[in-house]
Amino acid sequence: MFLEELSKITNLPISEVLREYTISNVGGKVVNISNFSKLITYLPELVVVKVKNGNLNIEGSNLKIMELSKNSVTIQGVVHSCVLQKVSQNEN
Amino acid sequence: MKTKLTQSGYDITLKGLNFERFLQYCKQNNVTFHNILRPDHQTLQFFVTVKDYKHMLKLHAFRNYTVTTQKESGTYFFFKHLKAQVGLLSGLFIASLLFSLLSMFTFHIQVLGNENITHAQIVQVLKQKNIAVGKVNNFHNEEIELLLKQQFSDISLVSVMKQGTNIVIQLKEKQKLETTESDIVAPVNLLITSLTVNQGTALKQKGDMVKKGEVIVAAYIKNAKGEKQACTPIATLVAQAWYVGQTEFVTKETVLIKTGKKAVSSYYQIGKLKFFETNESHKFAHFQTKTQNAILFPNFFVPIRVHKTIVYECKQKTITHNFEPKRTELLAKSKALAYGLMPNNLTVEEEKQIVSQLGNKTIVQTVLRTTLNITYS
Repeated sequence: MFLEELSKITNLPISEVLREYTISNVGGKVVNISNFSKLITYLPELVVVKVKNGNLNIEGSNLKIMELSKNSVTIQGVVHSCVLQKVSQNEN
Repeated sequence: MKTKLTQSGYDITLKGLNFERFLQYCKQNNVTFHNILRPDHQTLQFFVTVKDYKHMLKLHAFRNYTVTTQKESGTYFFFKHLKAQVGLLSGLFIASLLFSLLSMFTFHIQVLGNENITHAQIVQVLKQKNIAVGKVNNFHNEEIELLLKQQFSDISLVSVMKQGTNIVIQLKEKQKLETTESDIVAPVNLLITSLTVNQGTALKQKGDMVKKGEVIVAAYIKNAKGEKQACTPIATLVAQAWYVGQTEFVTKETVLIKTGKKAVSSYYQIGKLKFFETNESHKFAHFQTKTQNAILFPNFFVPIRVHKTIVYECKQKTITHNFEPKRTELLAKSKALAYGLMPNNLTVEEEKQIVSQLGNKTIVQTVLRTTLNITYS
């Protein structure tokens, strides 16, 4: 099972793996981020989402948030880049 | 992912600033947004479910924004609006109830194709089964068809249909044979070799070729004043007759093969009123047309007719058939036909088989020559 494999690789229990954030980019058309903590910026060209210890910058065009719930956000559009920016503890 | 199609909710447009804070606040309070769009920096559009919208109102989430509800969609609003339309609903219910009730009645009995049998006679027979105008009529069509056939010996074909509140009876009466003149007519194509007339007027003579149905001896004699007086013709006829059995074989034919493309035109009709008319034009060089005409709901109070015309595009293909393999079979068939036409008491004097070409057809004929010797009295 995928989660078990992830648990082995990360040396974390499955419950902990489930709590970590995950990013899925489907063909540069849809990006799904689960377990994110905050939506920092939403513009049609840029979506910035805060995840544990960093910010995820999604750049593209015609970006639209298909769904925004407590645990996940799904962004649709033409995704040019998806960059995870590490933020130090002090900055955070 | 749930979408607007499966959920009832609101399309909302917000005017203001700092939407990220608004979204974060709502998200923390378990509100789920769908289809968020930001057309400009002061506008945010999104879809929320009814439940989430009510929750947002409780949270006073909109307090710093101008809210415009663009659209309410989903079954929740449909039923909500229906609740407010009690009168309309009751009206619809009563109307459908009335329609169902009235559909059970008969308001008109239509008889088609009758010549000698009158409408009143048919109605009278129907009354035996308690079928009449203005009554609730529950019957099986086959049962009435059988009854009418039993009651009227002159009916050869009958069909009974219920169309809305109409009963349509279509019938075909047996053809009555008219009394024929007592002229002597040629039973087949013949060549007169001898004609002896004892009574009547001979219209043909020895050596004449007479076509089937032509009068040979008329049933009258002329008196001294030249007036015709009817009589029964008495004569003896000796003639050569030919019985021809003929079959055809198509050697070359052009057939139409459907390409799969089609153009459909249709309309619905109540009485003379046409509606939902669609007319798909076509530029097919070769085509076949199929027309369908049916009643949408056969037992419904109002007979709604559906007319549909389908034009199929076709391409032409010429097919050539070889006659030779079929020659023996067709010769035998034409022979059988010729012998079938000839009465059994006659003797075949000559049998001839002819194969000829006529356009795209090969004609196969068997000609049987015989002598007729008939005495009319």
